[in-house]
Amino acid sequence: MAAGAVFLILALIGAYSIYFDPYLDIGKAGNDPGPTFIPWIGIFTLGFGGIAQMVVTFIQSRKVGGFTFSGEFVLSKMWLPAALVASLVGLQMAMKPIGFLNASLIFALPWVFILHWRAGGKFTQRYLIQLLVEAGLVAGGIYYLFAYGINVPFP
Amino acid sequence: MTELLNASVTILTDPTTMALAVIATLVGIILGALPGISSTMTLAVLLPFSFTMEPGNAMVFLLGAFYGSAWGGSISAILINIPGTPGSMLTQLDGYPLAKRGQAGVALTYALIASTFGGIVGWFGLVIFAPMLAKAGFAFQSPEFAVLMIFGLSMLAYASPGSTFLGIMSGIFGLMLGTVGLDMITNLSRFDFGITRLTAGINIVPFAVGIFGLTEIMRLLEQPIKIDKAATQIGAIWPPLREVVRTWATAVRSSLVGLIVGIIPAAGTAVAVSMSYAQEKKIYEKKETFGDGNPRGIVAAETGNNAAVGGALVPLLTLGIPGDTMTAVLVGALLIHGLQPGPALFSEHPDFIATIYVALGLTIILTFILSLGLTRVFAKILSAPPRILYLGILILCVTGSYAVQNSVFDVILMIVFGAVGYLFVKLGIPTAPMMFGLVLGPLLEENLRRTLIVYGDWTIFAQRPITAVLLIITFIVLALPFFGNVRERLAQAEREAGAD
Repeated sequence: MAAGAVFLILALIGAYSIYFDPYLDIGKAGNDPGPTFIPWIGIFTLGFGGIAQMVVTFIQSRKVGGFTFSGEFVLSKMWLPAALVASLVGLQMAMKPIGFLNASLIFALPWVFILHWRAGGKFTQRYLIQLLVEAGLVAGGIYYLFAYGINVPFP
Repeated sequence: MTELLNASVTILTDPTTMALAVIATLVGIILGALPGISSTMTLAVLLPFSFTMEPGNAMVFLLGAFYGSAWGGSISAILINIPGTPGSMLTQLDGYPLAKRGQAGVALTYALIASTFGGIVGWFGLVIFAPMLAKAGFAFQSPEFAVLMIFGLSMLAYASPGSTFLGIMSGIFGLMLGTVGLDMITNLSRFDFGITRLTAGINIVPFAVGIFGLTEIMRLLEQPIKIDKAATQIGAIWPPLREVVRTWATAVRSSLVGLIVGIIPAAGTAVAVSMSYAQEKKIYEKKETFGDGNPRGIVAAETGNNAAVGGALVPLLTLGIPGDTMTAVLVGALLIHGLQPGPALFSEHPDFIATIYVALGLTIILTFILSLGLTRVFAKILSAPPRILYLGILILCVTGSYAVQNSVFDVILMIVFGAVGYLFVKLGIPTAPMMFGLVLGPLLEENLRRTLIVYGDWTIFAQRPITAVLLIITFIVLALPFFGNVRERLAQAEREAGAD
């Protein structure tokens, strides 16, 4: 059901963008169906496909006596991936003000601890120092590899 | 032949190229061996390193990583019973039982010899069939290419794991993503939502890194990271020579199956391996020994897997259709270097094609030599703490996306597509067809509209024999799942009627 809804939402967003763009109609000339031809095919297929998916799922769920919960969308599973996305957004926003290397180091520090904890590691004194060093080496190593290895101009 | 000789001399005598080949193969093997790191993810995170290389070196680098990771997946399959890549999923059935008996080294060597043999067969397949198919491709014009893209997209969506319907929908979404930005004919911008950077379109690298790299790390974070203890008893490395020679027929049969399946667009290594293994199990008289440490099982799976690698490059280079997600990333690499895969690549850049042949051959040999010498080292790497690797991949995802165009916007795109990929995976929507849609979408649009502008009529697709046949096949492919459902329902109704 949710998959169908996602496709329907994507189709509606796409339709909004194409329908309210006044310039796109200028593109149709002669036999050329124009720049909106393929986008509209995609929008209609996604939209009707999404609705079809929702209807079929609804009918099937009624047959088995209601919707079943997949167990995929629970907080216990999703909080860490969500935190990762949030911290990546933070990293991206910090790149220009504080520099790419500093932003990467600040990003790497908590995540090396989180990954260590997720792999069942203990936080002894030895690990506290080792993890800090590892975060610095990984973030710094990759930065220098790109900056000096293939001359990427970082902010 | 002259081009092949020239390319061999150029590559083998250039220390930089040779160093790149060795590094890429090693990195490919190591990343491929680590569970959770697929070959596609390996290629996606290594792709940015190839931008500044000249096209030949870039292909040596990427093919090294591609082939290395295809073999690397078998190391974890044998040592810790987890296939590193989909292509090695059946190697574990016979490899792990052997490893448990303290013969991990023997199992690895069987797999290595078989994968090298399969790789060589795949290489010959590429060298023989690619020019033939490219020649046939010269008969293709816009209508043929337009239908070929529709055919390729349908096959790729159909062959993706999971729901076929959702796979097709995912492919359509990818196709729409491929239309983001300036239209190549009218120069009008679509789906840009007022964001100037989107008028340049969606770059394939942040997209691939997002849906294959970040999404996988997000999935890994959902539950505690399990560290399986690797089979540390490597034992003897060499199996008895007589035993190895006895598997020759299995190796030949499975390689041919792998090669043929690999050439079919969208079939991919997983299908090639399944068919090779099933065929050998069917033929072998002691079927019950398959799945219990029978070296023939390892040989069948490995030869099929690696022969398919060479096979998958045939439709990619000759027609521009990627065989699977890994070759789709390779398409991105070619496009970044201004090379459009297709028949013209053979006539305009024969030297580049020869470089690809030599690069693949070199990487097969390098994988054999490096793996034989470093078997024990690779086994140790599997016991290393995963945090360093996963952190490294996370930072590589960000750095690599930035490095494509030195743009922070590409990092945002990578994060967005990582999150979208994660949502799709959780909803059971296959993500690979999205990538195929993004790669093939612009080509489909260009050829379809060019056809209509030139011929002015849709009936042209029915009038030309190649387009008509391809359309019929596409229709059958798309209709098959529905017929399957109908047949299933009829059978179920019959069963129910019988029960009454």
